[in-house]
Amino acid sequence: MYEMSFGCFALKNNETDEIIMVDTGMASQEWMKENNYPFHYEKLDGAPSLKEVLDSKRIDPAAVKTIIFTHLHQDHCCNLELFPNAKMYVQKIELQHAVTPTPVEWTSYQKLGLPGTPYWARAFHQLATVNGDCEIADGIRVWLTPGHTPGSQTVIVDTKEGPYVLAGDNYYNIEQFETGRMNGNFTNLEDWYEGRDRIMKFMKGTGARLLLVHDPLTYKQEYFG
Amino acid sequence: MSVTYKIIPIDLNRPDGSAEPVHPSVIYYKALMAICTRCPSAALR
Repeated sequence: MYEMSFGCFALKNNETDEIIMVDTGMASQEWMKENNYPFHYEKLDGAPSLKEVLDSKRIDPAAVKTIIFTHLHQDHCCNLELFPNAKMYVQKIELQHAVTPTPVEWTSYQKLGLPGTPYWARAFHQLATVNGDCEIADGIRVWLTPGHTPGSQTVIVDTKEGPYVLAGDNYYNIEQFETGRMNGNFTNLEDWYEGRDRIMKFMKGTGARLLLVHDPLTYKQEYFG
Repeated sequence: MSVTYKIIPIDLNRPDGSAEPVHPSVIYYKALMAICTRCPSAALR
């Protein structure tokens, strides 16, 4: 058992103040009920919307030009109507998999044909695929690190403190990463270990730090870097 | 030195910071229960 929080990340350029989003979180539970979405997280009842949180941090979503999706599970890519001017980067294989996921993943991907259109499909015209490792912007690069999903990608962000590793859902908490005891959702465990080894070597060589979106510890601090 | 960023966590949890205990299998179990009427787990509804 472990505790699971929800959210996403805003990367603020230290020179220009421009914001790049990594994932866009989950829609409010109220919105999901109104739109017949099958998922319900009791722990999110009464939680603030993404718009409310961005407002509180003086972040204008309409000004965001770049979003990076670690993967397309529904708790990572909702709220896209807030970002009409953003180009949204996802791994090619992840987008392909989201169209035809395995049955056990249907609700995670809001499978086409289930009640409610998948959020990623609502913004299809804004999606841009990448194929493997690449640089998204100066100081931000992605690695293809499958395991949790076939097209999960890890985002490496340069900060004044050194690089940070945003590893999506490959690890729900630090303990999973450090011990290598995978106990969450995965589609390929060998890929999962390979990606973990790569990240561990990178962290050892550079002093990079790991940030995990579902780890409650992530939200104890106002910002990193 | 490349461009650097501040990483701002966007907290979408309840204001009291509560995060309920979850067993990882629960996520897929819930997904199956929501969509599958023929799998053996359906007997547990």
